[in-house]
Amino acid sequence: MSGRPLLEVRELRHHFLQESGWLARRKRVVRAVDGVNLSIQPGEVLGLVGESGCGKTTLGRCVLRLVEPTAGEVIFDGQDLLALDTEAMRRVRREMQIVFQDPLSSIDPRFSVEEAVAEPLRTHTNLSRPERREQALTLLEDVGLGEQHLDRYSHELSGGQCQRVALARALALRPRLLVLDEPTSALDVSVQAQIINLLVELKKAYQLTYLFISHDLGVVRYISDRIAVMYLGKLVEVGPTEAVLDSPFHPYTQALLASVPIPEPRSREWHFVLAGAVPSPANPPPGCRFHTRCPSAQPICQEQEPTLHPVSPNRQVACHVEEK
Amino acid sequence: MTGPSLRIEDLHVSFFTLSGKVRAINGVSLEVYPGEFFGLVGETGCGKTVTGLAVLGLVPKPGRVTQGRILLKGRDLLRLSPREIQRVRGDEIAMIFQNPSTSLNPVFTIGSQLVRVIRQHQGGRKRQAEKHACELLEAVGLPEAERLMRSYPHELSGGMLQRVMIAMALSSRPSLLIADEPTTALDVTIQAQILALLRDLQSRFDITTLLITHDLGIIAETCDRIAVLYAGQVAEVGTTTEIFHNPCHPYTQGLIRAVPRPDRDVGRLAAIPGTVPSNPGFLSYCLFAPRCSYAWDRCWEVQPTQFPVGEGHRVACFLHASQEVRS
Repeated sequence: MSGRPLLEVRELRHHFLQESGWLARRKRVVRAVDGVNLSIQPGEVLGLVGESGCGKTTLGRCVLRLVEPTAGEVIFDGQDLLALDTEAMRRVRREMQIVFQDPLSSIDPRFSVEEAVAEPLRTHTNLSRPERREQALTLLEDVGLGEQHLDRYSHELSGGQCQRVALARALALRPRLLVLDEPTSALDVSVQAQIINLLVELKKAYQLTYLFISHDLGVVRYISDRIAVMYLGKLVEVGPTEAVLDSPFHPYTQALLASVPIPEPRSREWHFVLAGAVPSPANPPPGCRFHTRCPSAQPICQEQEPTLHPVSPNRQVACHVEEK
Repeated sequence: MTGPSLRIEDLHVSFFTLSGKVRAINGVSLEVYPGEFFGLVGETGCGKTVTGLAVLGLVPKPGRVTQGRILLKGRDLLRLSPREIQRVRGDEIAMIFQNPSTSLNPVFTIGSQLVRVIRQHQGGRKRQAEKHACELLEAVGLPEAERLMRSYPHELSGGMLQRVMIAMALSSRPSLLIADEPTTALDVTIQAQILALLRDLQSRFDITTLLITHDLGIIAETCDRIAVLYAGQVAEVGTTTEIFHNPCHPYTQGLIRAVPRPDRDVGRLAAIPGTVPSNPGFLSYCLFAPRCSYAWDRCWEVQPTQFPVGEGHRVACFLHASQEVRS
């Protein structure tokens, strides 16, 4: 890899206090994101995958400082975001936008489509109202909607149309980085395919870089250049999408892949099933966090935490067993 | 093959809402044979859940079955009195739902809820029922059954709760299990465990299973036969291998091509343009015609009936009709 990455995350941590018990006297620290390093080159799509509770959404929000990281650095285009004050951060936010999973709840129900799409223009630019309407229309056309949608409200739109509006709004300020947090999980497959194809087109047209957060390995394979697999707040494997999915190194990546049902009848007679459930991030197991479920765990895995290290060009894995 | 254990004939279900009649199911017919793992697949609003609920006589108000027959081993469930259908539910047919955490009462222990269901259907002493409950929990792969009996639902993970629900469903040895999106709320690794369990139970206890899902991957890996639903009608029905290797309905073809796969590169994803009709029951033409790239005059005149294309493989599309029906 060469050149300066557009986004670099260094040793990022986000811990939060969970209060429980009588009058919240029992406090536990939940390590949602616990020391993550990653970088995204301009024009690249990085797929961040993992199961629910692994911290992928929190990581995405930390990047935009929608939640304040506990420690670490978020470097966007050479600038450390965590050192910026509110005003400076506001300016940087023009260049990075987020699209959420549930399109209906991410659009204000009292806003018309025009108002929703033009809102970023109103807060960040000096355009007049007719100019904003014109721009909103252009944006809508870019996401496959039209003039007839300008004066509608979110409840009048289908899930797929709402997600298109959310995309148009995210693109309004011509950002360079889009964080897409499960943008198609709430949609049916036929509509999901429409939105994914649209994301591919928009990336070219707007020269975007994506941090694509998803639990769906199929979608990630389709859209991502590189993939990062997360388990309990840490990255376990990073590498080019095809290489990782065709020959995964980490036992968790292997298990994840084996668990995804493939639309091919009787594709696997023997189904590798990973036993147990994900441990609580408030009380992660010592050593390697995956060792409680790992089929190839060794004694060392219970004691020493593996670090993410390179195993082949462009590929990194955090596993003791793979080292040998 | 013996007769079907479940036969649905020309089922129509409508919802009588304040803003008018919404026809959710418009003539669904299908047969599920004993010991079979049958899949009902379709997108949101295609009527797959309502079909499952109709079998149990649980279509929520203002919905009502307006036409059709549902035969369980030859007996029409729609003609039973509320008391009789109550006995069929649980005794002969059991259902598990998408969200296990809302299916259990949070203020009672797992054990008390299981025991209550067992005694409701089988009577017997509490001791006996408790023993039976423990055996059921072990049968669905839950360790430390006795400790689990004293736990509350919030102490269990989603996967464990779904196992409890399956144990509860099995309590009176039903002949038919309806599983409505049983793994949609779960993570993939847990989903794989639950699907393996369902398949295992089907062969171990000889339970006929009707699996309702939107996920083509799940269907392909678990089901023997499937029906693809579109807008409250069966678009295509056949064995899983037939449907995936030789999909005949343009909708099935589109659906299969729209799924991105983790195991191989696909070309550009084939999205199906447009959206599902919102109240399809009032339309007189093929419900898929507005989104179909093959549609011709005939498709806009009448709705296609089911045409056979192979052994047990039927498709509701004029492309596969005989020459005289086509024109």
